[in-house]
Amino acid sequence: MKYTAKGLFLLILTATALMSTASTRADNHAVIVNRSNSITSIDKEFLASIYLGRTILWENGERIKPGMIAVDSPSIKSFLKAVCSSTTRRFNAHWMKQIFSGSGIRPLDFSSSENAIRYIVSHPNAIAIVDGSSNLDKVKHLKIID
Amino acid sequence: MRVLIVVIVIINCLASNMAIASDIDEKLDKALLAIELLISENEKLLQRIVKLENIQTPAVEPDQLISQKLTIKIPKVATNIEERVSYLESSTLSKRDSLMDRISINGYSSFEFEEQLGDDGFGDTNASFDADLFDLVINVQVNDKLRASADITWEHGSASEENRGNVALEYGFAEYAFSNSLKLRVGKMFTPFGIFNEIHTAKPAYLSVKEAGSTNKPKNVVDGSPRFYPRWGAGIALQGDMSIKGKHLDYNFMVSNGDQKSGNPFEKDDNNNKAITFRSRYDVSEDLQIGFSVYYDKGVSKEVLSQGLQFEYFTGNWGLLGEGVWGEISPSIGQDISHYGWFIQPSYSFENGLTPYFRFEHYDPDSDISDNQGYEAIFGINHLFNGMTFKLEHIHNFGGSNSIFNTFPGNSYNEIQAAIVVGF
Repeated sequence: MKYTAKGLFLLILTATALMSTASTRADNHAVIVNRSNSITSIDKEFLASIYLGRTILWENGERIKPGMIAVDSPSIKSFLKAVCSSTTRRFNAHWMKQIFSGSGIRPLDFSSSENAIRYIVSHPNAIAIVDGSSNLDKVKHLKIID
Repeated sequence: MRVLIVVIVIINCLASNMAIASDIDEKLDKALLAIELLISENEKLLQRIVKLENIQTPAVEPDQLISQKLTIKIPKVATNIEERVSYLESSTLSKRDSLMDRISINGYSSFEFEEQLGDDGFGDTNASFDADLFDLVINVQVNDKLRASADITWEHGSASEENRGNVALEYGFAEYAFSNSLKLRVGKMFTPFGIFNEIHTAKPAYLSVKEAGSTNKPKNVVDGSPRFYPRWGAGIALQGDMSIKGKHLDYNFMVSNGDQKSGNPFEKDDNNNKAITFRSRYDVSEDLQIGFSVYYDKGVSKEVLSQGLQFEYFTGNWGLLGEGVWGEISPSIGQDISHYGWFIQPSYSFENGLTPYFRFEHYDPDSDISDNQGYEAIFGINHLFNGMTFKLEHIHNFGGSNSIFNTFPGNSYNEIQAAIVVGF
């Protein structure tokens, strides 16, 4: 009985560890801004409101230019789940309503993380979600704060 | 001997002083070199700044420009000169391709098919195709604060020479954002009421073939019924988004000319009373949003007051929409009318893009008359694949014994409706 309990405990521990690893691997998005931007971290709620079109201006009044790589990529799926509590389908449906009701402009879609990084380098007020494994030397990688 | 000692001491002192002097010289040389390097680097940076500033606005003195840019233009960025240079370089690049950045074009098309099943009913017995609409939405970000937006539609295969179809500016407005919580709109806008009105033509934005008629277009449920509010309004609107204790809340307040029977309400009001619309939506949780709308107008021919409650609930793959609207119409001639409508719409979305849904609608055109209400029970599927949406519905229309359906067997009739929709 004791042996079984120990086995069960180890099994749960292993499963938890595997789930944790899987979660870390899936959570491979990176939030980037231009290097001239002085912020180093961004609030999760604020970030979500940017990508849902509810926040359009930085605190200084300048327009936020949000962008992201393909919405059905694993990085964006993990971003939508972790930050916007949403899915690709719901995110797309949300933006269909936003655009066609005249409420706002959807974040830019980039064909690759490299293109997104290039855009960020040339746009000081831009923010983008890219694949976390990309080379982020030319941009600033923001920490997301819960 | 004493003299010799004194001489040695003097020589030692001199040697020591010379060594110190040499050391000081060496340090001074290094310091000077460092200063020269700093000056050189600074000059390079300043040259880059001047070059960038000259590209942007060459008429102003570079020194003035630098001070303006560094102190005013970039308050949130640039804590050091490298960051400032990076900002200026990027903003210059940004200006070069800004035209592409500032314009966005979206749109949708919808092709529909309708057929009434059986001979009795208000539906289409000819099984018609309908080139329902082609629609373009254009946004121009004039500057950081100002956006111009327009929605132009061509409905039912518009051909003006033969007076067929409809070409319309669904909305065309300018929006100035004072802040995230305060935006001012002026122009022609959709009346911000309930769930469907602002997206009623945007078929990619909802599951069904048509919007819910009971709360948005009552005549689709009971023919001849009045609206709760006009589709559009020309006027001024304030709107904004904010967070209250971490929950999102938005509001929209519009003052417009209102509805009128003659003339163009988007150009000239036929009375000096203005219509007022207010809607607010609140995210109770990540899954549930609730909202409230009200519309009031006292026009020449009637006074209208409508109020609505709505909710949208999404959890996992499940969705549930619901809305109820109550209205009072006080015509200048005749009796007041109270009407109300409501619907509920559950749905389930499979991972492959297939979403079956059901919508039950109820509309009562006059609450003083018993059993005159109409109903719609819609069973439908919506399948999104490769950016295209296919919709298919079976609609069971029925009503009370005093309703307009009472001439049909079982006070009801059935229809099939389908649509192919593309949004971009």
